[in-house]
Amino acid sequence: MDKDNIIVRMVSVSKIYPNGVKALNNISVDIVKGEFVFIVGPTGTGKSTFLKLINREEKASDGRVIIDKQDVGELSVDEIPCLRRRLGVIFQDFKLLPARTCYENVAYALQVIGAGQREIAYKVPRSLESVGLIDKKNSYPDELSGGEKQRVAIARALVNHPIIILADEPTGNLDPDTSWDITQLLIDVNSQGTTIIMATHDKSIVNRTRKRVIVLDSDGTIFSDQERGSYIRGL
Amino acid sequence: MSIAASSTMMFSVLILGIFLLIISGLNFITRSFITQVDVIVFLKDGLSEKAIYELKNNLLSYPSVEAVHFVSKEEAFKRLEEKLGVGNLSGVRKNKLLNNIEVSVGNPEHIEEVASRAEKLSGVDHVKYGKDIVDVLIKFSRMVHLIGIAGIILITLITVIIVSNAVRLTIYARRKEIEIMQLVGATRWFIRWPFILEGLFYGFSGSAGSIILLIFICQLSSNFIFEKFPFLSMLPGVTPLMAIFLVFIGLSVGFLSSMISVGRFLKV
Repeated sequence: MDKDNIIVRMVSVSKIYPNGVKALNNISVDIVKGEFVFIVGPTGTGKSTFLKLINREEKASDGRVIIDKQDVGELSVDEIPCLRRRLGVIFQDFKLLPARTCYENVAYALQVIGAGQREIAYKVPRSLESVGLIDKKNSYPDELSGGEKQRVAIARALVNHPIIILADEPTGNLDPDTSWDITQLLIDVNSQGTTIIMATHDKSIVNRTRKRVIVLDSDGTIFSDQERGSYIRGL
Repeated sequence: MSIAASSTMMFSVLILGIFLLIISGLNFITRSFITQVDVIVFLKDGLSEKAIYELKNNLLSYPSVEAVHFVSKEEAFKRLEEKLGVGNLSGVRKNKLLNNIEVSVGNPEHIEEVASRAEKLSGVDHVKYGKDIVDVLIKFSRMVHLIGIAGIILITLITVIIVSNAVRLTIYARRKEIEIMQLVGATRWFIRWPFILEGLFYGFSGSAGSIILLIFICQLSSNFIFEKFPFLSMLPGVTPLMAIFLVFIGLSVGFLSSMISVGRFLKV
């Protein structure tokens, strides 16, 4: 692995929540720029925690998490927003604002980091276009299908040109065909150079795409880490 | 929702204001009593200036006496006029008043001794003093101050708790927005300031409303007090300083309440 290209490095990372749950147990992982990585494993094995450690929603109890050569454990509360502006996040429940249109939802991500009107007017339509939703820019989330909502969320994640997209079960609420469409879209985004880390327990997607698969075990350790892997039977 | 938060703020600040009025009234009353109760040596009529001068020196020679001040009939009359707040007392006979010497005693405990010695001096008509009341008033005044400070802190804390809960409801409605803002990298201050402005607005509107109500209450009650207790007619009302203090408290409470409430929804 090319050392200079490592974008996520976890060194002996453990995460124990205040209630005593041990989500991750002494894991070490390197992810290279431009990779597409699936994080799989049964519910409650720390897939979400893995992603939350990257955008500093959670702080490792032990070990180091280094994102683009920066130890995120050392970031002060005021430095965390800078990290998050370089990351895109998408979720199973989309996290769109229901009172805003597609366009406004995407623009919102730029507004809250202080972008100007011109920048917003330039970037938002391009982002919506890249997910194929420019026609629905004036629709509200409730008027969209699940797949379309997730596309809006992806447009919002992409609008800042993130170095990494963190996707936490992005297909969890979608039917198999739509799930595959969303995965295809993420693969397209990945092919343009954005690193994608996707937590999922959708076996068919993992097996169909043949990307790198990191399998977490129920004790929070890494069960397996394979290039062009598949969903391990029995999990 | 904003009406609920502002009116909560208004009534809380109003209670604080009423409390302040009561405290400042009590403080005013005790102060005016304390300044009234030095030893006053009333002189017989017709003393020569030399005799008055000697009396003054004699009183000053007592170790516990700090100062003496001669008050002529005319001055006593003028003071009476001012005290009663009436422009012209030409109907009152000046001759009813006596020349007197006000004696400031350093330690209230020596008032009785000074008074009894002064009473025996020639040329002295009679002596007025109030040792017991001085002690009681000093204690009372200290207590009023203590209760005042404790009360202000307590009421302010309670206000912060009540108002922060009211503000929390307005923030709760927007928690999803706050979560998304944090996820896409908005700074904490960017998220906070609209809520803080909102809190400051509640603080300002609430305290301004309560000041208007207080002035209204003062006017109503001053008529009543003037009728029942004319000697209290000089009670201080809502002073500009108090108004500024209440607005300051309102703004501080609004600010604190918003900070506390937003803080609960700001995950790292």
